[in-house]
Amino acid sequence: MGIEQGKISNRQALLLICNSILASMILISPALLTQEAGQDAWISILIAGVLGVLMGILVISLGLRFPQKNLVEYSIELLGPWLGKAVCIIFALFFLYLTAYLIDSFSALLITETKPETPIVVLNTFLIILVAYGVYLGLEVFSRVNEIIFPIFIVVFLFIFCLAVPEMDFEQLKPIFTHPPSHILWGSLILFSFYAEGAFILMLIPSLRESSGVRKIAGTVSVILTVVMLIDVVGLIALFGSQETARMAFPSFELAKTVHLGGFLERIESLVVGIWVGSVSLKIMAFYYVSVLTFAEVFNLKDYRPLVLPYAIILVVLSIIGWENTTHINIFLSRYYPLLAVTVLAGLTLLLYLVFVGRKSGNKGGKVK
Amino acid sequence: MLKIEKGDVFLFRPLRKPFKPSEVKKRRIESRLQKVQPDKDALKQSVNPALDYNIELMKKLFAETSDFVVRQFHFGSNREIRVGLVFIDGLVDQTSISESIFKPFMMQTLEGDSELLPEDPYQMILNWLVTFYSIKEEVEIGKLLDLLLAGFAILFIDGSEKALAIEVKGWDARSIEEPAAESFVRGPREGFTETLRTNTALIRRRIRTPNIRFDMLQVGTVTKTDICIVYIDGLVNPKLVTEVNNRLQRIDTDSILESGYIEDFIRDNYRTPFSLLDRTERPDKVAGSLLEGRVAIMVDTTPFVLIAPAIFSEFLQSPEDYYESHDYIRPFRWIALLLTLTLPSFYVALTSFHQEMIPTSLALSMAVGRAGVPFPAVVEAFLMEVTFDFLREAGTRMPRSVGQAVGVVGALVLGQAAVAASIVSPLMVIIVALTAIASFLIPNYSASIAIRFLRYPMLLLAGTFGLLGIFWGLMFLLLHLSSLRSFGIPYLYPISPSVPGEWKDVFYRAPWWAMDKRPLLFRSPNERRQAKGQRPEPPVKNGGDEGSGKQKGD
Repeated sequence: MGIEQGKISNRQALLLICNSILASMILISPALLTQEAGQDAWISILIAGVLGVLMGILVISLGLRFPQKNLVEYSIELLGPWLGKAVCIIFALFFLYLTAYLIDSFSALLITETKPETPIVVLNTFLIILVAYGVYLGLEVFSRVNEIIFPIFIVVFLFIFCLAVPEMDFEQLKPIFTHPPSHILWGSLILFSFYAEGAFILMLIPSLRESSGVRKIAGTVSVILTVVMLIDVVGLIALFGSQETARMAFPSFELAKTVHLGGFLERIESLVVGIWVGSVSLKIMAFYYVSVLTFAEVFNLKDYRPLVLPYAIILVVLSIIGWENTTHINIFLSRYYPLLAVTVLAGLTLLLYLVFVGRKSGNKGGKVK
Repeated sequence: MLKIEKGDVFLFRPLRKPFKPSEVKKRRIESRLQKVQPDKDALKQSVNPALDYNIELMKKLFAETSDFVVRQFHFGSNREIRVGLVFIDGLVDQTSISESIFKPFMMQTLEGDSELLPEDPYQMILNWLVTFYSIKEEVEIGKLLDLLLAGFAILFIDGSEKALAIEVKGWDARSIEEPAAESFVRGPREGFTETLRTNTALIRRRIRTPNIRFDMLQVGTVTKTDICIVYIDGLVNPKLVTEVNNRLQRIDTDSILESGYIEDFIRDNYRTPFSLLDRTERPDKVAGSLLEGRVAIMVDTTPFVLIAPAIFSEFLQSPEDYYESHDYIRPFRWIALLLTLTLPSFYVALTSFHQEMIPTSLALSMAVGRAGVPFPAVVEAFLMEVTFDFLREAGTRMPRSVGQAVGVVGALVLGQAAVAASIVSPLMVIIVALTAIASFLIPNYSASIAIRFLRYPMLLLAGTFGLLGIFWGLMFLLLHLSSLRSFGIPYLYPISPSVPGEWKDVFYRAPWWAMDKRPLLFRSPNERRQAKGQRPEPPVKNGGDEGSGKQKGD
């Protein structure tokens, strides 16, 4: 029996995962990708898509072995109380860290693009208030809001993209395969680190209302995200060229700046920021929630809500002291974060799955502990 | 499409506060009653065979209030039977009293029919003399008292241990008129009145099925207000009825004067500006809701009927949408909702933070308009919005003749004079006026109030953070709305949790033949509303002699 009593439908889960991966990926990753792979970035995206499917299958197969239990319960069952709890604390701390960096990179976007004079602590607190409120209301509530926001986000993205099409020059995608495979692979690893964030669903599988169609989610998420990222990155390279894109901090955001329609609709990047507030705050909510919930489960609390406020305060501080500026974030994201994310998220999931398989073959037909 | 399981634990969930144990509750009510009705023992006793005792008791209970009438008389061939009639003047119909009580008693027994000399005067009166259709026999004084206060006339008979309560209710009531707050171009012009029985009849006239139920209960230890739970058996989910009943039973108060009292007691969440129960004065709307599988709560002495559960999108629906097929009005209302909420704050955000988004020529003319204005845009907007709300409130509460004067003054304050004095810019006046008009497009008054109130926090956010603030506010609002429930039903249904199959009554109104199912979320056991495939099709062949072979579709 978990703490969370709310239930979400499979579609809500699907959209929640999509949003939780895409919201920052679409904002940050194109620049990192083109830094590594130039105009071959689309190859990295395809490879990352395949890796994403594998990761999804791994996560969901692990989750479905214990459909009524969450990560904390079965990792204790598999690894014993001490090791199991340690693994879960690493999981929770990772998402705490992730949340802090998301808040910081979002504030960085706001400060570089629209509000240079606002102190970062104000923006961070402003965003965290919203996020903490959503977490306090619970899983059901923010996944329902996500059900509204994510489609709007996609529609707005496609709309802006279509308006930018006349400016694009697809010749800039040539020549193909000019970058060494190692760079292309590193690019896909960067992208895969975003996909791996989808592992947060491990905590939520017992909250799914029906467990029948869950397997499809992994594939669907990867397809949707790969398509959106392909459109985005190909469009960006065609619009700015790969070198220009690599130099930008937030290329997808620059795309909105180029749009103008009929002489009255122009400079709509502030609107885009607004919609990103929704999308990114929902992403942060999901991770914040998973992290708080994991802590609450590890320490056998009856409710996760008492943790929400202290957590918010920690986040405000952590998001300010963690990274100094956008360059710092960029280096962190392109050099260290992929390894961290892959080790913690993919590694832990794989570890648990292997232990499970080992246990199962170890006492075949015998008692399941 | 989202399928919701039948055994969903969150459906029609009870309020968090548990019911008090009935025994404790009863004792508390009784202890409180003692202050109001000191003669508790007197109420418990039964009718005394001695007529004088009963009459004296009644007189004592009422302390001979002016509208309390006692009429004692003798009848029978030899005037040997003594009776006493007690009633409250103003609650009874005087014609009925004289026609069905005094006349038979005094006139018919005059014709010295010696066979009428009774051994049992009570039976004779019951069977022969009272010529009124609705009679109750009662023994207990307390119950008689309740009936008396509900408009019955009580007949005490000397020597009998029972008394007769004759339902001669009749008071001056407002006739059925068109509701002022919800007026239509097309649709029935009847509205509820203050009399519960008239209101139930208005529903009954629309739904002629024996399955419609009017469950009565009384709430309010002093006011003893009649409350009626209305539903259609077989169309409503029984759990919902039980839940409504439980919540009403839980109320322990001394007075219910309007259905708003009830609403405050039974709503799921009170920390919200949004109303979690719908209310209406229109019988056709109540009938429509009952047919969707919902429950109506009628309260005596008010024409406003509560409907539970309510969802947010229905506050943008007017019953007239269902009669007149102008489908485009629904999207307009959604736009109006957004405008009411964000237009002033959007203006503030654009002028203070995002000037680059304004087309150049407009930006120039705006700059000219704002040239002499001493305040920042937020203050300007606040000034104008508050002024508008003052004017609106003044206009609503004023007598109609004075209201016109308010309108004239308002036009001056909000309009030319304010601009000429360069307190506000002309564009601000347009924005405020547009917002005001948009807010009137929301058909439900309480929803409109909630949205209008939320303009102020939005203005504040826009003034401090620009567009970012507006979107932050909208997100906050969405989270809040999504967390609300009305009788366990998600308030934003069917938008979130989104059920696209049910949007045909949300963002537009589909033709009646297309809405062949009841809304899923009210969990009606009888889901199908009508047969499928009733779309009227023009004849395919023999299209007629119009010349054009193709006829226009429906």
